[in-house]
Amino acid sequence: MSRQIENTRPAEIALVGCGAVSQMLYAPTLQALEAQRLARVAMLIDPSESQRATLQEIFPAARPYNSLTDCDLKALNLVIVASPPQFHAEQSILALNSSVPVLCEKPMAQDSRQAEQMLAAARESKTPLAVGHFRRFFPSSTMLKAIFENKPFGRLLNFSVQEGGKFAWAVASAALFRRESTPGGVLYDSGIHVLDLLLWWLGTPEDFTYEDDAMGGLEANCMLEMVYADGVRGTVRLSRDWATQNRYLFVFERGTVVYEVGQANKLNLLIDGLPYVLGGELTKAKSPDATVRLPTEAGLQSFGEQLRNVLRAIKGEESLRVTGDEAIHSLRFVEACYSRRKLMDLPWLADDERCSAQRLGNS
Amino acid sequence: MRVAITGASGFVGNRVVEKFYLAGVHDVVPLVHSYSSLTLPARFAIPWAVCDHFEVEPLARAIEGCEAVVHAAFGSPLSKMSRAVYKACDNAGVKRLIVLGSASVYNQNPAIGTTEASPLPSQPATRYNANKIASDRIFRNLRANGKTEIVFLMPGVVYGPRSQWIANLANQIMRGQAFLINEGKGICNAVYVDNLVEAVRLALVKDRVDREAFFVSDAETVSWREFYEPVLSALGKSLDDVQYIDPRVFTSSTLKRARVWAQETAETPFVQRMKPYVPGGLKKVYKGVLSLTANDGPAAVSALLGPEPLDVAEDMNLLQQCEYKLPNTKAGGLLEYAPPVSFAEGMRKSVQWLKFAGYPVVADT
Repeated sequence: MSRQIENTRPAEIALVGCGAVSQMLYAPTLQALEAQRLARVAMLIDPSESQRATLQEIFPAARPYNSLTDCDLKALNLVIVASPPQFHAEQSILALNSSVPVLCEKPMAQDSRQAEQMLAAARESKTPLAVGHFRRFFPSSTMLKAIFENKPFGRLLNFSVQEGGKFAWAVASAALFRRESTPGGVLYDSGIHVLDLLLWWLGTPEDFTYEDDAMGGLEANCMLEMVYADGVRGTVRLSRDWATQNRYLFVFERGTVVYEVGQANKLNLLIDGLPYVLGGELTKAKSPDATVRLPTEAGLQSFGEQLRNVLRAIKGEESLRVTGDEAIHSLRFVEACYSRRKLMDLPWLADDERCSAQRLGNS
Repeated sequence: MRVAITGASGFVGNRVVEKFYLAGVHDVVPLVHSYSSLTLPARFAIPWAVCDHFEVEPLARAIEGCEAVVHAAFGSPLSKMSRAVYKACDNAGVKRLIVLGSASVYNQNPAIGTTEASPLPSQPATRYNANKIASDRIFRNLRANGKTEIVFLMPGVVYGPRSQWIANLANQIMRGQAFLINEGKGICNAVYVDNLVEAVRLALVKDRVDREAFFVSDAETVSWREFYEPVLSALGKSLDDVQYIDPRVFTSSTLKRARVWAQETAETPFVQRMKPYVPGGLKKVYKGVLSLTANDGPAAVSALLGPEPLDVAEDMNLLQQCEYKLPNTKAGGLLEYAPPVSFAEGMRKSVQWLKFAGYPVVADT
């Protein structure tokens, strides 16, 4: 059984991995939670002293460690695993076996076999395992889920997703770009967010095709075409090479809904027969006529909402919104894509290059 | 031959890697300056390296064992990078360095009759040109005392997949911001990227080309109208959708010159070394100079009153006034360069890439 958080004390948290995602997303979020006395960063764990030092400046009271195995896990209420994905399973299982709840960054593991081991450890220790698919906490994601379920614009007909741009994360190592340390490129790294949302919104497609531009290495671009049982067709184009339109477009019988990537609490609606686009911020109505409204979470606030959900779930106040059992679906789908992969058409290659690319791409 | 390519994540550097590796021309070692630039080289199972392009030692280690280096990186301060690249090549025993320079050392609208033997203009038209000239001089001076041979390639407007010339044009067309100066009659010294890569391939292996500089362009003489047309048509537009304007006059105000001076001084190695010792007050003065000079003219108000104002860059203003096709004569002779890809084919591939990259292409050219 997992360790409970005393209501009067902040949750004691260990942050494993002090790289880009910890510095850019977890650090400001945890700072806010510390200010609200909901959490306290007790340990910073990373084999790189320089990476730890950056976060140590923000959390001076946290004790630094090279490895999670050096830590006294009994003192903790939550371990956040934000290290490179090849370490996720090992570190998560270590914490879960000590009955410490885990919030593991996406992708939850290198492969579904490792993910299943994590799920087994969570089950056996009866300890919560959450996965960092924080986009589910976007109000726009929740709104879209409701639109798919309640069908205010009729049946979904088709959709297209374009997401990505030139890779710009200030990563501290080449781990994301080496086949030895990661099973995939853009699909596995950022595409898993997209797939998690699509699977949550629309379920598993009946059939799909998948292409990417890996030629012995890791893909920078990929294209996925999905067909659902009710005839809905969709395309997903991802890139970490070039700026895409960064737009999700869902065409329904009586209108179109557009989500622009990064707009956590905004949507655009094109309702058939109406002359203008209805676009804007999603707010919560606090009076029947909506004259009183409350703002909803923007990007980083949604990230904070994810952490709050985990902390409340550990206290037994609500259920986890993205469990390991949920998150494994997108990882399995990524694996299914790679198992069917074909080389994308790279139309600028000369004939001799194409032959070679084809050979390397299929090897 | 084992060839290292600096700036391997850039438009030209990436295409050199792709072409040499996939066509089996040479063994390649792509070099990039940061981990985040590994996206494109990492598509291949090849021994890429991440290293500081401004420091001799890390560069020399990365190119060890290479017989040649293709220098496709561009960064600031350019002079520091040029020194580091040449010294690294020399220290590592590299036989030949191919420097991908620019025809803009003769300005964006070169005088009629310009050849590689013409004297460089006494007044470079832009800071970019001046930096390129200074960089070439550094390479030549270092070559005088070094062993690594150098060949300079000076392309004009390099276009193709991932080219800013193509992508920016497509973006401008989609925003209704595409423009042509002098009705687009000016000459575009275009070179399809594969033609430039062909010149690189030849420059790596030809004899008696040490210290030589070569213009490299497509075989055809092409106007800016002709350069725009395939992209316009691919996006369902025509030359009627372009704004036709007169040449702009660019002036350099004192404040603007002060800003450029402040930025360039701050980038010098000496100032970078001294930075930790500079008092906070002085740093505030420097930032003050930059902020005071950041905006030269009104923008926000006009944007409210009418359509988005045209953004005419200084180099494009000059390029579109060009009246001269830079000759391939010298490259055709010493390098035996003959562009393998026609302008029409180069544009067709560029448009196909736009489609690949997700632009709303409605018609293939």
